[in-house]
Order: sequence, then C-alpha cells, then structure tokens
Amino acid sequence: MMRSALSTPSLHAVTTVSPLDSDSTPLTSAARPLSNRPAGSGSLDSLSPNSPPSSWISIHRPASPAPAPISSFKSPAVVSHQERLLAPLLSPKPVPDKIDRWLIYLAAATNQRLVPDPTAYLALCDRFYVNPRGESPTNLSVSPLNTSAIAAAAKADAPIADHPLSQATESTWSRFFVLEDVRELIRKDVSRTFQEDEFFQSPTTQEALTRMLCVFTLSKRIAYKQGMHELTAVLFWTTWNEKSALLPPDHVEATAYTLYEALMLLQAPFFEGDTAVQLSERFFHVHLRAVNDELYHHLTQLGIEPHLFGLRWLRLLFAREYPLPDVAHLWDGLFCLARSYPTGWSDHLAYIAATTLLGIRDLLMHDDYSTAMAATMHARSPLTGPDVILQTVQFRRQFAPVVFDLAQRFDAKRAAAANAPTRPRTQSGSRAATSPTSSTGAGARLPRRKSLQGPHALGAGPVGKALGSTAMSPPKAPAAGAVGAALVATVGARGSLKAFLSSSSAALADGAAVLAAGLGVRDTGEPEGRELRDLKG
Amino acid sequence: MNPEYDYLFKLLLIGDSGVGKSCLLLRFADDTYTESYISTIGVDFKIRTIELEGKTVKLQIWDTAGQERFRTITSSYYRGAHGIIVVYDVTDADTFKNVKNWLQEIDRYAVEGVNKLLVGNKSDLVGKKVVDYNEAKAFADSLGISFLETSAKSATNVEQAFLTMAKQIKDRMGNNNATQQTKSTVNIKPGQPVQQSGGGCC
Repeated sequence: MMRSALSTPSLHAVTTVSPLDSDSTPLTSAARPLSNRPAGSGSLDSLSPNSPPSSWISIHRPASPAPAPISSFKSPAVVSHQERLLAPLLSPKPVPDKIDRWLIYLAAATNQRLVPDPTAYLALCDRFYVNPRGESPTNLSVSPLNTSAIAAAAKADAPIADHPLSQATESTWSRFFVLEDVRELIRKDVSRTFQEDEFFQSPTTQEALTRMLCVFTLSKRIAYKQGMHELTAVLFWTTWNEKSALLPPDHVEATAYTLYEALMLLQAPFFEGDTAVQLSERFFHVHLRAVNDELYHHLTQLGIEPHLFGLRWLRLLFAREYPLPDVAHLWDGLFCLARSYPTGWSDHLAYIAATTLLGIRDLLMHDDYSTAMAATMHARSPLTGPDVILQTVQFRRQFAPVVFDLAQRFDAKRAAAANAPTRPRTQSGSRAATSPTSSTGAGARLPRRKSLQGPHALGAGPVGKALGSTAMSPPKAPAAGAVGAALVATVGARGSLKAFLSSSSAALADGAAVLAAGLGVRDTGEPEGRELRDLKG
Repeated sequence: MNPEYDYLFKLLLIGDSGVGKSCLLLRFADDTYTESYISTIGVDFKIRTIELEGKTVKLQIWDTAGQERFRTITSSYYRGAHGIIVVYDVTDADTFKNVKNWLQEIDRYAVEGVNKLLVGNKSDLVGKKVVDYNEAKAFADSLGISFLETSAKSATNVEQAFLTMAKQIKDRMGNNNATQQTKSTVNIKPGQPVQQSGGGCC
C-alpha cells in the first residue's frame, strides 16, 4: 500500500517478469484507465489486448529511465491483462464509466451477454409487478429525486377481466397477491437501506429498488433474502450517478437490473445454504492465516468465529464495511478481477475479506473477545476502495502458494472431520462465554481478571460508544492527490496499518526472490515462512 | 475503566424481521433510537456492563436477523446462550403468532434450562396495537416465562427487559452456587434504581 516504502531494488528486477509488481513504485500521476474508451460502447473489442495505452505502463515504472516498450514483455496478453487489472484500481478519483465497465466485467465473469433493454425490463415489470387495480404498474419515467411526480402517476385503462376471488393461477389478481407478500417483505428492508444517504430516502428510489427486487424474485423464482436489497442499492446508486444525465430513468433502472441479474449469478449461493459460512471459514483459516499468521492466531485464541461477521461481509460484498463510494470502487476492482479470473469469485472475496480484517488489525489485536468481535461488526475500515483492491492483488501475488497449501490442508481436515462441522470452534471456543455445559454450575462465574488492555477497556460505557470513538472514519486524501499520496496519508494517520504494512514490505522483498526462483515460499521469519515449516511439520 | 466482571452472560435476541430487535439493543447498549435501523444481516453484537446486586455483570448481546432460517447458521447463534429474548411487534399479529415457532427453535438449538423472556415491542404505538397485553401475558404464563411490553422508541421497559433476563440467569447460577438472593433492587451503571418488573424468577 505504501508503495514508496515498499520499493526495493529486488522488486525492480521483477518488473520485467510482470508489470504488476511495479505497483511498489510511487504513483506520481493518475492512472488513465479505460476512460479513453468510447463511453457506452459495450463491446469487448474496445479493450483490445493489442492496444494498451503506453502511458499507463510508463507511470508504473517511473524509476526506470526508459520505460520498456511493450514488446519487451514476455507476452502481450499478459500486458493487456495487467492493464485491465490495474486500470480502474489505481485512480485516485472516481473513475467514470463504472457502469459500462461493470457490464463488460460481469458479462465476462458470468458468460452472459449483458445489454440493458428497457423494453424487455418494462415487459417483465408488466408481467410480475402487476397492479390489477389498473394503476400503471411501472412509472419509470419519474426521477427518483422528484418525489412529487409520483403522485402524478398516470392511470392506465383498467384492463381487468380478472376477479379477485378467481382461482386461476395466472390471473392478474393471483399474481398480485403473490407480489403483495413479496413486496411487503422487501419494503421492510428497502426502507431501511443506507439511511444516511438522502438518495435512498426518496420514495422514488425506494420504489425502484422494490420493483427491481420484486421482479427479480418473481421472475427468477429465487427467494428474496435480506441483503439482496443492499446489492441492488449499490448498483442502482452507481448507475444513477453515472447515467441519469444521459439516459431516461427507465433505462437507468433497466441497466441496474441487468447488472443485478448478472451479479446474482455469482452471489446467489451466499444467500442460501451454508455457502457463506464455508467461505467465511475458508478466508479465515486459509487466506487470513496465509497473509498474517499473527492476527490469525490471535483471533483463533480469542475464539472468534468467522462466519458471525463473514456472512454479512460476503452477502453484501462488503457494502457496510466501507463508505458507499469506496464500496463502488471496491466492486469495480472486484468485478475486474472476476473478469480476469472468472472462476475465482470466492477466491477474490476471500482475499478481500483478509485485507479487510488486516485493515482493522489494531482493534482486532485487542486482548478481549468482545472488543474484537464488536470491531468485526462495527469498525469502519481505514482503507479506501483502491487500497483494498491493491492490497488484495498484492496478497494474491505474494501468498497464492501459501494459500494453496493451506487450502489443501484445510480441505483435508474438513474431509476428515466431515461429521464435525464445528471443529474450528471447539478448538478455541472457550473464551467467548461460559460454555453451555458448564453454565449449569458455577461455570458462568468468572474470576475477576486484571485488565490487560488500555484504551478499549470496558466498564462504564457501552463498547459500541467506545468503538465509535476509536473506529475512525477513513481519512481521505485530497482529490487532487495521487494514489500514492493518498495511501501514505492513510497510513500516516493510522499507526495500526504500520505493522502489517512493514511486514508486507519485507515480505514483498522476499517475494521478489521467491518469484524469481519460481518457488512458493522462502524459509524466512516471515509469516509465510512459518507456515511452510508448519506445513512441513 | 477496566474489564473486570463477576459474570459474563450471553443473551440472544430473536423474533421476526422488523419487530425492533436491533432498536431494542441499540436503546439498551447505546441509549439511542433511530426510526428505521438498518436490517440485520446474519447477526449483530453489542455489549454492556451492568451492576446487579452488587456484582458486575457483562452482557454480551447477540442480535440475530429475523429472516435467517438456515440451520447451521442459526444453531451457531444459540450455542452457549444463557438467556434468550423472543421479540414480537404488538402492532403485527403475525409476529406474535410466530413466537411459537421461535420457541420451537429454542427447544431445538439452545441448551436445556436456558432462560427465556417474551417481549412485545413498539408499545408506544397505542393506536395500532393489535396484540392484547393480557393475551400475551396469559400465553407467557402458560409457558412459565416472563413477559414485558417495551418501547425502544420511548425506552419504556427496555432496561427492565434486559435486567430481568440478567437477574434470572444470575439467580439460576446462584441457585447452583447456593448464594441465591431474592427480591432485591437492580442497579444499572448510571446509578438509577430500576424496579424489577415482571420477572418472576425461579
């Protein structure tokens, strides 16, 4: 992250292998990502691998006197891939055309053709968002910010031949009754979405979100689950911000819906079964352990169960862990990664989760279960969206071999203990509270413990408040600053990051040698070194 | 300002979506209220330390999502819980009807003998009230569990609900320790004496 500090001679040697490694050099000018692409062109051809703007390559290698021409890279495809990977991630400012990119990224990640079609969307609305009383089922031509216009919704002719008591399953009324149940459920959540943002308080926004979710639920026959509303909200918010000046409202909503449909192809598993629990276990026991052994062991000792917070992180794609603009930026990087490695959706999320945990490391290293647990639930990360994605990419590059080994061991243990799904807890769960077995006796009586910790000590006040004061809002660098400066500022403001950053910088230096040697890990004092010994042993 | 405590109790809030579990917790832990709190995804967690009969009791309160039904997920919330507060909305009859289902969940997942409390929230909405106090009280009595009507908005009975729960758990522990005290005043940290209400304990 603090790339100026991470810059090492050995790394520069690696830049000839992969331009990704050159992100350790200071970023002195803003990246020029895909914005030179004609806006609105939804074609993959616009990202032709053969035409990377050389300006990006050069800005990542400012230390070299003469930027290597593209042909010097081993494979043009790699160059193109890295560009795509990095382009949207490095901009210090909001990158325009997120929506156009997301359509491309998600199309590639889901192997779908994504072309927003307002006509088709309206037809879906007519079919599933019925209103048998004859009011216009969809009134998409109203601006979400123009609330008074809703009242002027045009009344269509009453075309209803149906009777409310009709038993016909396809009658308008029967569909309406189904819709009513779903809608009531969804409205409860939509009305509670991102309340700090005025945009989401507008009745028109809420109606649009409700409509999208109802149409999706009924047309796809995928049950609505809490959390889906926030995914829709982020997509709609981003689409509205970027497109409302260019497109009519129905087109904006249709675009957001198209994105949501595609996103749910990737996200739906986390809303059912225990997929989210499994991945929570995995990112904790594999990815976090790989990138920061110390934090992992600390949390394990405290008895933190990863799914308690991981469920929300994964279902909402970290939408509550970062401020809304950062969430959009984070998703930008995530979708971009998903496009590059379409099968690795869970893996990307796992790396981001590990990064997010490291971002609040200071609070988590507290010697108190409650403080650490509350931090996973409420602490706002000091990292910005670009921070998260960069760190995620770095972690993947550095620790992929360790992750691979740990994952194999994790899977093997899992298979061996197939009938003991609570294994992670039993090895460490004694700290949380008195155990159920002992609670019948004097077990709940805990000895008075002397305070081991300072600032977050509990007692007079509720910890929610204590956290509120310590969990700082992410310090933002001035918009004009380059990413490097922003990161330095962030890090400077957060001593908490220093530890893990310095360890990653050392690890990065090691990583260069590791990469050059084509080996996974080096037997050093670094966490991954320990892991390797662990694995050998 | 130190984390010393005599007891650590894990409490669980369950009930249908939108009945105000999170608002109850927010009121109790942070003494604030918002008109429409965000939906809980998975589970939320807050703590508050109280003084109870001269002992320091740390309450670890888990606020579950009303919609979560998947077994491996919900069962993990019940693990180790000392007390469970079942919440319904006095303005929504369905949420009261569903209390039965929630009690079944407790039987399925929680340890035997776990303390239970029934809470009818939103009691400030007098005009919209559809679940009668006596009906709910009779229902709770028939099951031998305590019952309170609360309002997270006006803070009515919120302290009492959690303190009732804490006292019942402490008494249960105390029973086993032969240090039972009966009918004593409950004190909370700010030093405001609170009448013990409703909680006919052990």
